[in-house]
This record gives sequence, C-alpha cells and structure tokens, in this order.
Amino acid sequence: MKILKLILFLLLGSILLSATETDTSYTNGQFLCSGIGSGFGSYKDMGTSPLLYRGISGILVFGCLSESAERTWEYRMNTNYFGGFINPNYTLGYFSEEIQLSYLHTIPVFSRSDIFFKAGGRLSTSVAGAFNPAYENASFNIDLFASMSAQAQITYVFERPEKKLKRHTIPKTQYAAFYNIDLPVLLFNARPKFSYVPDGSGILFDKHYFLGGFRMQNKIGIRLFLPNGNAMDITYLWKMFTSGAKDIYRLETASHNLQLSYYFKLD
Amino acid sequence: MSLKYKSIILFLTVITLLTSCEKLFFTPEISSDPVTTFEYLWDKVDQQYAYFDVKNVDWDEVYSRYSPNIQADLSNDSLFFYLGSMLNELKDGHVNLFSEFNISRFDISKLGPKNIDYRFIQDHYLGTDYYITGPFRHDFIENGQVAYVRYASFSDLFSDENMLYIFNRYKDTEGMILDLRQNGGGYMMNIFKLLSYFTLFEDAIYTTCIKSGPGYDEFTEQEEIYATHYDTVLHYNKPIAVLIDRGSYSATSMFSLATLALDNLFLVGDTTGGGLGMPNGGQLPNGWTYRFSITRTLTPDGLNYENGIPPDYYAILDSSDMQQGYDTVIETALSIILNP
Repeated sequence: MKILKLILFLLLGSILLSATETDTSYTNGQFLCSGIGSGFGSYKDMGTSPLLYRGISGILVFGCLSESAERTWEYRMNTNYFGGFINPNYTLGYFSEEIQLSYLHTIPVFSRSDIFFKAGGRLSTSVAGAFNPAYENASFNIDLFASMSAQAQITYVFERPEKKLKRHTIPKTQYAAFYNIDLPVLLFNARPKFSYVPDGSGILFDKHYFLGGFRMQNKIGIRLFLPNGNAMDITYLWKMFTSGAKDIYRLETASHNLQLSYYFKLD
Repeated sequence: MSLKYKSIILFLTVITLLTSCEKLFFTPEISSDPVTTFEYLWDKVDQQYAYFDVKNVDWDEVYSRYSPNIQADLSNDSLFFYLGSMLNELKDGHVNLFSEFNISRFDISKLGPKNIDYRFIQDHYLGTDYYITGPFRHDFIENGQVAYVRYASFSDLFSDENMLYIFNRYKDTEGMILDLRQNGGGYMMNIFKLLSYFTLFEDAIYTTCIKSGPGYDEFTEQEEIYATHYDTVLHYNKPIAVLIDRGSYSATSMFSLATLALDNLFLVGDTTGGGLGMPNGGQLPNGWTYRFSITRTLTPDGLNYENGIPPDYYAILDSSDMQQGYDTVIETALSIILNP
C-alpha cells in the first residue's frame, strides 16, 4: 500500500514540476475506457469472523466518459476481487460487481482555463459475494448495496514541453492531473439477517434492509493524451466501506489499487 | 501553471495519501487472548444455538463452570480442551471446534450400538455378485422377493439413470429394504431427490425455522418443506423398510423424519442420532473455527426429534441371530414386508 502511494506521488510530483500552461481542448470528447489494477485490501464481516482478512485486490474497469469544459458524464462497470488470508489455514475470496453513473459540473468561480473544479454526484449499485469454506453453511454470502454520493474533482490540464536527451527527443506531451473525492449522501444495504445462513427452503438471499453506513472513495491520478486522441491514465484508487451500526453484523472492506486505464476516443 | 496551483495539487495528493487509511473508520481489532476467545464463543452459542430446550442445557451454568479455567496465559492445547469440552456439553454431533491441531466432536453414534455389520450382510445376504449402481449396493434377497439397497452416505450423489435402473430391476418385488444404518448424512438435496422416487406425497413432510434473535425462543415462522421437488417418472409404491441406527445422523435423520409422513415407508432398527438442525460456522478471535446448529426442524404437527427419531419397529443386532446367519434388523424388516 505504501509502495503504491510512493510510486504515484513521485510520478505525479515529477510531472507537475515540469509543467507549463497549455491548450485544454484536447481533453474534451467521448471516450470508451477499459482498465486494470491491483493492490492490497482488507475485509471483515462480523457475522462470520471478528478478524480482519488482509490480502491482494484487483480491479477490472469498463465504461465510457464524456468530458467537456462544462461537465463530465461517466458510466463505469467495476469488477473487484479480493483474496484475503488470516494465516495459511484460512483464506477468503470476495468479489463485487459495481455499476456507477457519475455527473460533474464545472464550478466557474473556482476554475480557470487550465484548472477545472467540478462538483456533482454519483449513483452506484453493486452486488458483492464472499466465500470462505471454513464457515460451513455460512461459507457463501451475497450482499447488495446502492448509494447516492456527492462528488468533487479538481483537474489541472498542462503539457510538458519537448525534451531533448542525448540520443532521443521526448515530444511535447499533454496531461491532466486529477483528484476526485466521493462522499456518501444515502446508502442502502441488503445484508444477512440474524442467523447468517440460507433458510430452510434454500433461499440464499434472505436479507435485512437498512439505510446507513459509510462509504468513501478517493482517486488521484494523471492522464496522458496520445497524439491519436486516445488517452491513458494511471490512478491510485482507495475505496472503503463500513455497513455501520444499523447492521446486525458490521461489514468493513477497503482496497488500495494502482490502476492503469486506456481511453479510446470516439469522436 | 503558477506555483500556487502546483502547490494545491501536490497538497491534495499528500492529503489523499495520508488520509486513505481505513483504520480511522473500522472497528478496533479484537484481542486473540484466551479469555476474549472463550467469551466470544460462549456468547455466539448463547445467542444462536437452536436447541437449548431440547438438549436441556443451562448455558449460564456452563459458563460458571468453565470460565474460572480460562486464564490469559493458557496454552493453546488447554484452551482447546476447555472450549471443546464446553461445546460437548450440548451433546450434539453438529457442534465442533476446529483448530490446526485438533477437532472437537461429540460422537452421537456412541449413544447406541453399531447396528450393522456390512461384511456380515455381504456374507449372508448379498454374496459377491451384488450390483453397484452409483453409490448404491443392491441385490435381490429372500429368494428374489425383496430388494436390498444399501446407501452409505447422503454425500454420495446419484443420477436418474441410477435410480431408474434400480427401480426397473426390482419393480416386481414385494418390497424394498433401504439400509441407512451408519449413514452419517450429507447433502440436503439428496434427501429430496431420493424421496421423490418413493412417493407422490404432496403435503409438507416437515417444517423448519431459523434463529431470528438472541433469545432462546426467537425463531422465524415455521416454513413447510415439501418432498416433490424433482420430476421423477418412476415411483416405487411397495412397502419400503428404512433401516436406521444411532449412526444415522443429520441428512439421514431428516430423511427418516420425512418417512413419518409417508404411508409406504417405515423405520426399522434403533433410534437415529438426530442432528436435524443446519449447522453454520464462524471464526473465533484466535483464528479457530466452530460450527453449531442454528435452525430447527419439526414434524408437520410440531414434534421435535432433534435427539433422534425412534423406529416404527425396534430391532438391534442380536449375536445369537448372527451366529445363525441372520441380521436381526433385516429379518425384522423382511417379516414386516412379507407379512403385512
């Protein structure tokens, strides 16, 4: 986790220090995106264990992005996986499939030609499943979550001038550095009831439903624009979730992923 | 870009990296010491175990008896001994404690005699040329009048083809013996699948409910469970003797319970081991895992047979019968089938 942060910090810092102001029009457009990332995570479900499982996480992303100076629309499908361990004897697998729809609107008073401050919201729904063979009839569980959150993003668009090395010349490159924070407004959760097993007729998803908990997502990264109009970015993505005090058995998850994405320009 | 804006972005970066720590939001990690582990396990059982009334166990008294033994410097071996012994107070085969070095258990089958000697059955009833179809060992006995079918574990899967072959082979017999002695259980789905070949019965065969709160009597509404879950094309409607003993546990007890509602099936042998609850599992603060029952299963008229389902016809292997080449339980079943 610290290594991921250090890599991104050095990368972002070195690029920013060599930045100059530039035209920002190339950042606009419609993009199809796909990405992959990996890192570290943690998981605790008090219904089955009071212990925090730590392990490796991975993420696959597909989506589309519509970006302009005034607004940003984004639709994403995230597939997350976490494999955790207590010791070599106890292993846990956790996956989630998440659909996100985000809208951000530029706030002119805080923005200028190369800096955009945007605010908006995100709707998200996800299904998450956990498997731990040590828990007998409680080995497998599926949860459902939906959330509405407030979102803010600051984007700084810049270019690095052409750089001549001894044998090579690195051409002028255009970048957008961004920081995005996502805080919950409303969270809906469907989690296991008191006894945490399928009922007698085999209904696996017998749940209690409640509003509450806390969810946070922090994303910081830098996007590189290629001469053909496509783009790619590297992002550090931190997500955490706790189902909160209203849950019968609190669920707590977190992941830290370093993610590489590629954007195909559509227009 | 001005230094001011660069500073802002770098400042946000640093803030993100420093604050992206879930520990600020997560519950503190629990201690793994013996006292915490003991308290956790006792509390879980107290809130979720489904059969305190049937087992006639005073769980508070159990706490008073065991807690003085649990000290912070207790070795893992000693802690396991005390926790395993505490769980065995429930006298339940579905209750276990699992560690890297041992598994605690209460062997229900030891409550009664082992009521089967399969080698004896081979020597005196089946011979060496009996059929093996899927998990079933079977052949004609009693001059071809009765079918003998041995099913040793409900964990063993079988196909429609297996069952169709068996039922076609024995369709002209007077009855069938289904030997479930020492069958320790297995998959629930095999109960319904096997039952579907024996009955067209469409009423509930048992009811089940699940713990819904920490109180000993907090359960969900009773839910009726039906046998006809599979589209079976062939049914065996002749008398079927189901042979049982104390080693017939869990899914086998469930199957035996279901026979109580069916006219052409009857139980012969010793009381089953019970184990009608569905065990769920969990983990303790020190990493060990446990399981115990959190559902209860009743007959449609509300009877609780968690401690075992009594046979319709009691029969225990008798050594003097065996000296003459007779399995007392099989002979009892034969006399009922052939002399209705």
